[in-house]
Amino acid sequence: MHGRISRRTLLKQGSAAGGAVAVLGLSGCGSSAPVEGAPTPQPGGNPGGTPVLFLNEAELKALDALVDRFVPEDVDAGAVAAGCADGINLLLSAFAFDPPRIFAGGPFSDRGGAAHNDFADFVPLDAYEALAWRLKVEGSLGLPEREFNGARKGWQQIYREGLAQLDTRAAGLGFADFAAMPAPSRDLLLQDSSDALITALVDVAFVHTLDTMYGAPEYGGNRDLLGWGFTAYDGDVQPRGYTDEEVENPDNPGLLDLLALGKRHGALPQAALLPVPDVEEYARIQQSFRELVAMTSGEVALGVMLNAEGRLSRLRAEIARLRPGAA
Amino acid sequence: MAQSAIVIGSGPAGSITAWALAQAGWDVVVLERGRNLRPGFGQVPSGELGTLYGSDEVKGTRAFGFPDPALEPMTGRTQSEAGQGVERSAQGSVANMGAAVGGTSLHYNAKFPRFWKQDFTQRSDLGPVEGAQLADWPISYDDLAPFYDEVEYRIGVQGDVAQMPDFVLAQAPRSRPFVMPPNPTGYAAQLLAQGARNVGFNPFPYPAAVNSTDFDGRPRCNSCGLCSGFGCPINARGDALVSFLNPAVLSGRVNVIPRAQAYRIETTSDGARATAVHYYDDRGVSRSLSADKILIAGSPIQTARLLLLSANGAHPDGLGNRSDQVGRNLMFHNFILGGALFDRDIQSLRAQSTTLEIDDLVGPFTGPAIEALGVPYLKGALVQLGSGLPLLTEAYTYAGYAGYGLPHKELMRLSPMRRRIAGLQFVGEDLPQANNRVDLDPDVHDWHGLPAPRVTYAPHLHEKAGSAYFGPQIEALLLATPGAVGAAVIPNPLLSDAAPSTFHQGGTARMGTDPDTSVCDANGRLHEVDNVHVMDGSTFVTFPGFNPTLTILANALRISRNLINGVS
Repeated sequence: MHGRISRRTLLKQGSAAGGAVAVLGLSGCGSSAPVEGAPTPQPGGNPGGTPVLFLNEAELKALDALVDRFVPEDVDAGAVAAGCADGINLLLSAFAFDPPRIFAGGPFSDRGGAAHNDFADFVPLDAYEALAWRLKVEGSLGLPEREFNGARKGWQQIYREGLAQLDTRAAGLGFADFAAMPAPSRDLLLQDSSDALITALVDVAFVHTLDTMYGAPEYGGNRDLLGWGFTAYDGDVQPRGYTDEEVENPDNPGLLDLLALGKRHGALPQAALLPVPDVEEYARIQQSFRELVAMTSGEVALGVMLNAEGRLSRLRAEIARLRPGAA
Repeated sequence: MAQSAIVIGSGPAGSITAWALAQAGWDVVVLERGRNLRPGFGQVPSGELGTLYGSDEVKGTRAFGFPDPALEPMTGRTQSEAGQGVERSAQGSVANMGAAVGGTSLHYNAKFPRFWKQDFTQRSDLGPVEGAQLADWPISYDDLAPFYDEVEYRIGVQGDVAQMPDFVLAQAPRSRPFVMPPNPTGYAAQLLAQGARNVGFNPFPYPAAVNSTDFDGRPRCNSCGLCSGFGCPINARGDALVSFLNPAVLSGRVNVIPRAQAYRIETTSDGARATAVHYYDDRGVSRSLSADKILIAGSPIQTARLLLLSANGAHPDGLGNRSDQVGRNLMFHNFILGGALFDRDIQSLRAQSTTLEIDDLVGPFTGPAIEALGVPYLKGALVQLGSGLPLLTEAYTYAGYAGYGLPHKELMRLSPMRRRIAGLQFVGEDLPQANNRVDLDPDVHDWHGLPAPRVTYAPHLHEKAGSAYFGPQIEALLLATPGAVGAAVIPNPLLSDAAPSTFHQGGTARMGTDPDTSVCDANGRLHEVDNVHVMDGSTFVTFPGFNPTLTILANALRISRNLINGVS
């Protein structure tokens, strides 16, 4: 767990400041005793105090072992190296910060030529947004103003219960904890659909892992832009954007470009003639191609993501609706 | 004494209404349920506005600029589910539009085609279609044309008349050129355009409210590709806020109240005039306002919801709903999605999104092949060429198909969707149906305790037949695209009866001359309430296959000018 700075640093600071954060337990929590930074039903986060993150060391260890299965390390780095667990912890601790760490600021990071990183300055939430996001993060907590459509379990409780359950189940199988299980065993445990706590955890944690693996690093993951590296993604390019030349011409012209469009490219560098199509790779792409077309509309994709509300099960249901053969 | 108006909703229709009325000296209050996301709004010229948006995909997944799906849920079901007594099969965002000062236009794609002449006389020209409530519009293309012109010049639309096919200009004639030339066409769109030409189609630059040159104090677009669903970080896109609402507020005659949820329009005891609008403010406190005119621009689903929530003794089924047409005829666009697959990176995302348009499939089409599909004719749609998607969207998509772990990561590395597919969309026309409707959910409420809007929907046979007829032609285009090694189309109406994932919405308070079959007259005025007008896409009688925002703006401007001039 290299580079895990956020929590340790903040905890140390919090301790030095006298542990200013109120400790409040969650009812019905299936894990170990409540720790610092548990949800407070009062608005206002932790005014004046040092931010203390929600998950404890043991929970972070289990979470690392979990996100490792979502985006494993192979020839390229995975979710552990990208710091996804830290990013998720920041989301769960969003209201320990002022402003809460929900929406990164705008319009620019400093990666596309801007002098200042606006993304790092999170957007202050108004009362509506604070209610909406406390409901997601903390749950309804029995508060009448949050239960207009019934009780709702928050992500904090889902993670606390789910991570504890992973360790409990691992112990039942003879391992020290979930993190001590070999990867294939962890994969099997995560597929136990009869375990409601694990299912609920996977449902939200995978999507959160994607956000922190492939989203902007200001949210606490995508460390060293690892998520944008092996995927060859330019990331946010504003305010630089692209030149007309970059828009109109391919970086890697195909044969037809060279025959038909070559005059537009002028003196083409030899390196730009790559790549040669990889037949084996193509076969794998073609296999899943038809289904993927369903999401080539930005509008359709956004609608699907909004309806998913950060849950894998809903995402799958939304996409199943667009699959050929689904009717 | 100045005339006064309350405008409900600050999206395109509400913003242009406030702007036009303020120009004429009216005093206007705009109620907007969302918050302001543009620092400096109402204080500095639009060219100097800041933005809280950025090229940040996480914001999109967290519904930035949208209603929260828990606080303001919408519910949905299909027509067949409704027939079986199912109250709802979906709850959450469903078909929620954006909610912010400026509305969905803050993060729209800004595509600005005009409707065609034939769209306004569809019922007369083509006759009835079983199961559809087709009607002619009470206005014509010629009534809208001057307002199309004015909107295009105010908001700044790029395009090239010289490249538009004659058949398009015959149906959507123009008196002036576009304000600015087209942006450069992305490489992926160029490839698809050649495919289109290879099958005899006529691609041309897609009119768009995006700066290709500096305009109105705002810079030109630099083709970052993150358009639809993203606020423009460099302020290169014309929209309701920068082009209309902000200047209107700067005039001193318009006051915008953000986080104001209108929930009831009160009337005199005989129901003939509206006397007040009740709303919840940002603290959840109920307040009310009065004005000479109440102008509703909440977008089709929320406009219908407000009318239904405003039922009273004189209007027992909802304000202006003696016809029982409020909420009915809800229309979406039924997309056919297509993609050509390449064995290399064709940089779909590196361009202003979908820079080219094809109108060869707009129709109408008739003949034995159509009749064999069970419909008397087919109206199609424009096709937008060259879309691409960013990384996190790709990751979510694969999650839906491939689950997690190495298969997902492998797909991310290969990136068939983001790097190797050139996408297109056919924006299919949706015929109006009585049973495609908005009503009030009997059980689900928003955070104020107000009933949630419920959408009941199913595509008409016309839309399903259209998918069967146009889908293969689109696939042929894709296969004829140079360098494409595969192609596929996804005909949405054939796959699901649920309401499509689209922000193109129309109907629910249609205009018409007959109070028994329509909700409002040609000026958007409720047939039964003197001083309440519907300004938005709810008034649309049909929903032709073109992006609707330009027509929403033009029609709202037309109604506003009639209000100013006292035209009834």
